[in-house]
Amino acid sequence: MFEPPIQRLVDELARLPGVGQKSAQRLAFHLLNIDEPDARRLADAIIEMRVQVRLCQRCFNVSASDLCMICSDSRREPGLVCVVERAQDIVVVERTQEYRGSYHVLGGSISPIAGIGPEQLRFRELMARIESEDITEAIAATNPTIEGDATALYLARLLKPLGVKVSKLASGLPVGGDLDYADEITLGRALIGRQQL
Amino acid sequence: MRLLWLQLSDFRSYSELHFQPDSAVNLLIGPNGSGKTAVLEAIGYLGYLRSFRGVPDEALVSLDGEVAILRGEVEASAGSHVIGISVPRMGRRKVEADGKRPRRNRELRRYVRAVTFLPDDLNIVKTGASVRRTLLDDVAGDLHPTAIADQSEYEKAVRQRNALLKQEFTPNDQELGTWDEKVAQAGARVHLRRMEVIDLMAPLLSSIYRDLSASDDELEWSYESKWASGQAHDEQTLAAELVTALKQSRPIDLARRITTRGPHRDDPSLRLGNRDGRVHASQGEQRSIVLALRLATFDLLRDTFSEAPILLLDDVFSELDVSRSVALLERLPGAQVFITAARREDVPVGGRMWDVTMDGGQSRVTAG
Ligand SMILES: [Zn+2]
Repeated sequence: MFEPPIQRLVDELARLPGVGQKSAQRLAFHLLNIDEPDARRLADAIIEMRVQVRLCQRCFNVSASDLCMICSDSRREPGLVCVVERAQDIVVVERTQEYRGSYHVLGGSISPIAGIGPEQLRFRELMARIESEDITEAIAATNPTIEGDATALYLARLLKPLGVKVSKLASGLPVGGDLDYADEITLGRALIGRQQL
Repeated sequence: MRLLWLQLSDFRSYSELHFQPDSAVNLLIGPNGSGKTAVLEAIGYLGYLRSFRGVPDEALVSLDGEVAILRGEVEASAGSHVIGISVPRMGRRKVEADGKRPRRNRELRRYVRAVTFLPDDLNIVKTGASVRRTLLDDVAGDLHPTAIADQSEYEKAVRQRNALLKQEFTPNDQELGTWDEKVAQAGARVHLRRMEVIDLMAPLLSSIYRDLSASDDELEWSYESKWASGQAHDEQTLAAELVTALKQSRPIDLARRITTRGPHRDDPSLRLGNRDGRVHASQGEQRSIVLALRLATFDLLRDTFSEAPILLLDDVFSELDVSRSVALLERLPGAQVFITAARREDVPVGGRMWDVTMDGGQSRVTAG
C-alpha cells in the first residue's frame, strides 16, 4: 500500500485496459513528478472528453456535436456507406485515404454464443439511413473473424433485396485478427479489392 | 525429423527431465505407470499442442506443480527449431518457437510432424466416426497447416449456429441463413481436405494392407455423407450443397436444437473388399487395417515432405504378432523412433536403451 492519494490513482489507472499493477505504479509516480498545471491539463482533458463526446446521430461515430466531423463534411460522397463494428475502426479506414463515403457503426458483431443478435446491433438505424439517404452501395469493413464475417453476410442478406450493392474487404487481412492491427497498406489494398457479397 | 533434446518440468510424473535421445531408435523400457508414455505424449504435444491421450491440458500438470513446461529442439531439413510451451493448471497456455510467440500456433506443425501408434488404435476401426474424422483432419493439418484454421473456423461456426438454435425464441430466418452460409463455407473446405487425404492415401493403403495380410483384399476409405452428393469437387458447389442440406434439415435442427448436417456428422469408414471393417473384419484383420492406416500416414508424410516424421510407438509390439511386427520394423529405417515397452524382450528391434523408473512419485529416465 502507498499513501492513500497515490494508492487511489494507482487503483484507478490499473482499471484501464492493458494497464497492470506495475505500469499503474510507474504512471502514478511519473505523474507525481509533473507540474501541477500539467496535471490539471491532463485531468481536464479526460473530463472534457467524457462530457463533450457523444455519439453521432447519423453514423454513431464518437462526436463532439450532433453530427461527427465526417458526417458534417459536405465533400463526402453520398450514397456510399462503410459499415464497421466499432468507432475505433473508422480511424483505421480513414488512415488509408482510399475511402470518401460515410460510415455506420454497428456496435459489435453477431455472436449467438455471446447473446448478440442483429437486434442488439444498429441494423435498424442502418436500414432507416438506406431509405432516407438513398444509399446505393455498402462496404462491410467488419473484423476478419468468424463473427465479423457472419455480420457482413447478414448485412448482404438485408441490403441486397433493396438493390444496394454490398461488398466486403478483399482478403489479405489476417484472419482471426482485429481491423486495428491491419497496417494501412494492407487495409488500403483490401478496400480497393473489395469483393461483392 | 529429429528430436535433439527434450526438457520437461512438472509434466505428468516428471518434476524434471533432461532427455537427449538417439537420432535413430530409442527404446524406453519400464514397468507400467513408470512414465514411459508421458515422454511420447510430450514429444507429440510439441507439434500438435494437445495430448494424443485425449486428456485436457490441466491433466498434464504434475500433482504438486502449477505449470507444466515442455521444451524441445527439433531438427529438420529446413532448419532446427526450439519449441517452448508452458501449460498452467489454470489460465492460458503460452507457446514459443525460437524464443518468439509464433504468428499462429499451427506453424508448429511445420516444425514437428509425428505419427503415433497407440495400444487402443483398434478403436479407429471399432468405435464411432469421430475418431476417424479426427484422423483425416489431423493428416490434412499435417499436409496443409491452413486446414487447421479451416477446421477451427468450421467448429466455431457450428457452435455459433447451435447457440442460435438453443435460444429461447425462434431465431429469425436471415440470421439462421447467415450461419448456414458461414458453416457451409468452412465446411466445404474441411470436406475438400478430407477428400484430398483419402485420395492421396488410397494407393498406399491398399498396397500396404496387401503386404501385411498377404491377401488380395482391397483396403479403402469410404466416405458417407448425408449432404455431399459426391459429384461436387469445388468449394463453391460443395458449399451450395451444404447450404441446401442445412435449409432442409432446419425443422429438425430447430426441434433438436443442434446442427445435424455437415462434415462433423459425416462417417468415414474403412472397407475391406466390399465389407465394412467395423462389422465384418476379424480381430486380426482389424489389427492389420489399423497398422496399414498408420503406416500409410507415415509414408504419405515422408513422401510429401521428403523427410520421415518422428515415429512414436506406444506399447504396440505386445499386441502384434511376429509378421506384423516385422512389417512395421521394415519401415523404420530413416526415421527417428521412440518405442515404449514393459520389457526389453517385447521389442524385436535393437536401439538405444533407456530405463524408465518411478521412485517416490517421480519418474526418471536413465541410459540403460
Ligand atoms: Zn457521423
